[in-house]
Amino acid sequence: MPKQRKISHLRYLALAMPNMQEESDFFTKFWGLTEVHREGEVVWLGTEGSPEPYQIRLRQGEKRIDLIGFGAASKEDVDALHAELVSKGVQIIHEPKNLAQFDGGYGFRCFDIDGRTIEVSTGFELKQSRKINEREPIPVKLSHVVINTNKLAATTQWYIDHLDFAISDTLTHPAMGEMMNFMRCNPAHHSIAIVQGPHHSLHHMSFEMRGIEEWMRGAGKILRAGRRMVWGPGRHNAGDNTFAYFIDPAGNTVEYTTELHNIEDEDSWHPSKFDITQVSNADQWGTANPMSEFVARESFNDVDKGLFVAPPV
Amino acid sequence: MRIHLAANHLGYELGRQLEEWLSQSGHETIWHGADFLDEGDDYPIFSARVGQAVIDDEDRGENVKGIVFGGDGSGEVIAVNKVKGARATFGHSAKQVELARREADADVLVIGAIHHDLATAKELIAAFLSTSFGDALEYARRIINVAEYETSGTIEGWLIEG
Repeated sequence: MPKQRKISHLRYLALAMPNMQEESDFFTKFWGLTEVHREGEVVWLGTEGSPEPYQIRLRQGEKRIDLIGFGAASKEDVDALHAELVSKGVQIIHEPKNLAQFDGGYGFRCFDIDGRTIEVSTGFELKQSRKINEREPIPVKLSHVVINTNKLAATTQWYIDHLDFAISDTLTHPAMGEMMNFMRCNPAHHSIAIVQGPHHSLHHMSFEMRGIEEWMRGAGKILRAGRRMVWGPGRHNAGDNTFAYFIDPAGNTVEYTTELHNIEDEDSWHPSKFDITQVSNADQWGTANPMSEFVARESFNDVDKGLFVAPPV
Repeated sequence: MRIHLAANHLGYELGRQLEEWLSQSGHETIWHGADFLDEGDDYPIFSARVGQAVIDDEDRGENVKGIVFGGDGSGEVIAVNKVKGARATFGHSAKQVELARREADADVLVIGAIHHDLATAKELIAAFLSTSFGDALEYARRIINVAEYETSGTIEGWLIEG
């Protein structure tokens, strides 16, 4: 049986960037998201395949991660998690309350160890969703969010100790040690991952496609939209998911993926450590370009300017 | 299924017969060629129109294919494949068309009227429309590789840098 945690799933990623409209156009015209709400210079974008009201929120402003939103099953879980975090000295932005965003809900916000804003919420209004058709080159849902940190061990331990995440697998480098931890909060192999980088920033956000054919067609569509594919196509060993990474207009890395592994029995799951210098460990096919310094540098992204600063919305 | 069709003057008669056959079979047909037999008309514009229409519909998630009729058909294959994203195959045999669908996700079929009569053209089209993409990772990877080369001039980013 999957372990029951107070955080049930990854809900959404909120970002700010100076070219919000260009970013929004990219996601709606090419990436396959739909605009579900707009207020002033903030836009909420969702996938048609998910009942979650939205998967990303974009705000006009200096480039930063505004927040990472997680879901909880009940108000009791929200309240209990909040109380735990208070007792552990976590810096709370606001206590549990009815949320002001258009989809409502009840939740709280806090800073993680590096100063990213975390939101935990429940009771928000779900939207109408549909089964994505065969060959439809649009995402089903947000798969995972990956963050860069300059202190991998401490950031990873914070998510384990405070939000009850577990490590599913780790990428290592013979000279640099542990490089990346894949973290789960439910049966999905990872809902977040944490990468050792030069600074705190967004590494990438990943969207799940219906299947191989849809993943392939989506990648072709994004290439024709003029976006650069920085890594892929390939298949990860950690997570067993296919990958194709692109750079979006704000300079963030976005991924189409499919077939992410589910860990149904946590008791029998043994996390592996994969040596990143063995190409086959990052890419089962061994045909994607090696995880070179250039690829890594692309995913360092710009320094997150939002650390320990609560977003305005 | 929506099927975009076109022909130059050499494929016109066969193309129009098969357009009618496809319509009667329940498909939505859209003709991109001349409205009448125009002796000496050229294939490039018709071929490109079909390729672009198929890609536009694919990007919208439509269930769509294209079929172009020519004399030999070679020029049409080349012309369609100049459209970014288009994957045209020459119709040689039903078996070959099945493989083109399954492994290369061919989305436009080109039939040479000097090579095939009405009956064999129907066999090629039936194979083309009834065979699904094989949905295998290795096929998908190669197709993305081609799309990357087509759009950025490289495959895997750097491996074929000159």
